[in-house]
Amino acid sequence: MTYDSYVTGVGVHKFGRWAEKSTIELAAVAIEGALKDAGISFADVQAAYLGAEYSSFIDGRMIVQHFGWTGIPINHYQQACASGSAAFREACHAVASGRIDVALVCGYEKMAGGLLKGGEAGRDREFHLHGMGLDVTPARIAMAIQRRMETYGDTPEMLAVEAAQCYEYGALNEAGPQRPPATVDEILDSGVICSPFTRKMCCNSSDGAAAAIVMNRKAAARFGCVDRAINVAGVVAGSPDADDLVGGPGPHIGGDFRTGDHTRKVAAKAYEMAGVGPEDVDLVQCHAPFAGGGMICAEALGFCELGEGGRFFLEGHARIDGRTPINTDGGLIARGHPLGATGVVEVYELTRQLRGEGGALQVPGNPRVALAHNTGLGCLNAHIFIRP
Amino acid sequence: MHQDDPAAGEAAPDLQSGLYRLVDGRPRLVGNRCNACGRMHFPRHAWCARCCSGDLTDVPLAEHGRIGAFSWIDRQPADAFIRAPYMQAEVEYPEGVSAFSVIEAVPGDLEPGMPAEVVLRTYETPEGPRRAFVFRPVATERGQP
Repeated sequence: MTYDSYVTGVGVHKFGRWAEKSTIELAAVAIEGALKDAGISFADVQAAYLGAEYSSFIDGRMIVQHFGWTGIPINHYQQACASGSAAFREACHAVASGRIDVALVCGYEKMAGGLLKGGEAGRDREFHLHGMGLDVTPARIAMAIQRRMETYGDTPEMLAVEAAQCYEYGALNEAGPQRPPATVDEILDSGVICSPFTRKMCCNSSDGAAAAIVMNRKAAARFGCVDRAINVAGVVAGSPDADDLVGGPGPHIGGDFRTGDHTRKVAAKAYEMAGVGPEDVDLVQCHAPFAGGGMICAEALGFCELGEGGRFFLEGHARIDGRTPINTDGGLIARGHPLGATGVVEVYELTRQLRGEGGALQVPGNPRVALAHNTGLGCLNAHIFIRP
Repeated sequence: MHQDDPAAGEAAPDLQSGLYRLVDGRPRLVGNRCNACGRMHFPRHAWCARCCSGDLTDVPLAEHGRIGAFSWIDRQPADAFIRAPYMQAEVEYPEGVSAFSVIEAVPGDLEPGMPAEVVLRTYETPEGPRRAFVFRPVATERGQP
């Protein structure tokens, strides 16, 4: 039976550096866009689901009440890089259960720039992690990628090809900062951040916000949105299990970037819930904050064999005109990664693609099934979208 | 605090308490093994990660591990006391767990599979000196064993 949750509207505030704007201003643009896209008023919204890591619930409450003091429940989800997809997941469950009919989802974040890290040395119970610089996010993933290089023969060129595809598409994505394209050589020569990652293999620091309106079928019919509604047919979350725990001291984020096993397990549940398989997926948004993330997802989401992800990108299978297009909007690397906004901008991109509104980045062939993958410190959300 | 914890009775506070111990005067990492299912952990877990049993026994890790992966970090983490650039490594132990720390090496020094050992270093912080374990490749000191 079809899961009774539908995306009926999406909106975005263009990602980029917005030093002069508040998170409230960014989120307000995204929410207004989503309401307009769904053709509803804020008065129709019955609950708000917000996602942000650094912004607090205080911001969240102000963002929602900017549109009216309607007395609705306001929920705030903090799940690192997957805060937005966690908020989206709970909105889907709320409307599918019939508890409410219309939910607003918004992810937003303003980023400080520099290396993402897992804590603060000043309030560090584990000096070993933060004080010694062991919790910088790219480093654990860089080491996981280095192990793949040893095991599967992944090369720096493969990483650069994945990143170059991001920059090529990112330059055309009006919802992103539209930085110029970069060649494989420019990416390889852009200076080491955490070897083997160079600067241009790492996600850029962007601020941004994205929003979605989620309804059940009854509400979509009432508001006349059925024609443009995209069914959220698979909604699955999971946290790393003991198989992902290789050692420590934490943060335990490297395991899945090494094998993709955690992604594989969560994706299998999402495929089962949606009643589709990897062969049915027409395009993907995956969480690839650093080059190689797409390669691992290509394997773990079932589009190629383990160890073949690098070749999958090299041979163009992840391109817009390829077998399974991955990160058609430039992904985290080129579009940027304002943590809370990322999981919702994935919904924005996939919804537009499935409606045929992808513009210069439209996947050909009338795509019908899409998958979103978003992970925050290993806590993963996978959602499958089907155009009815 | 364990009786032979190097921080015991010393002026420099050590927030690593429990990650390592001195065994015959040399620092050794300490993990623990679940007595119910056999799952090995580092650092020590109060409850088994796999079967949730609370019955675990401390196990000092081998003196030498194997370098599994390493990364040269050429950006300063905003509030870390270590100064970039620095190398960090994942060292795999025969007990079946990995440990992560800084390794005293520069690019070109390391190959996956090289043996590494634990040494203690003291870092200056606004709260005074703090000690932590780091790795040192064994090959650069004694040649391949």
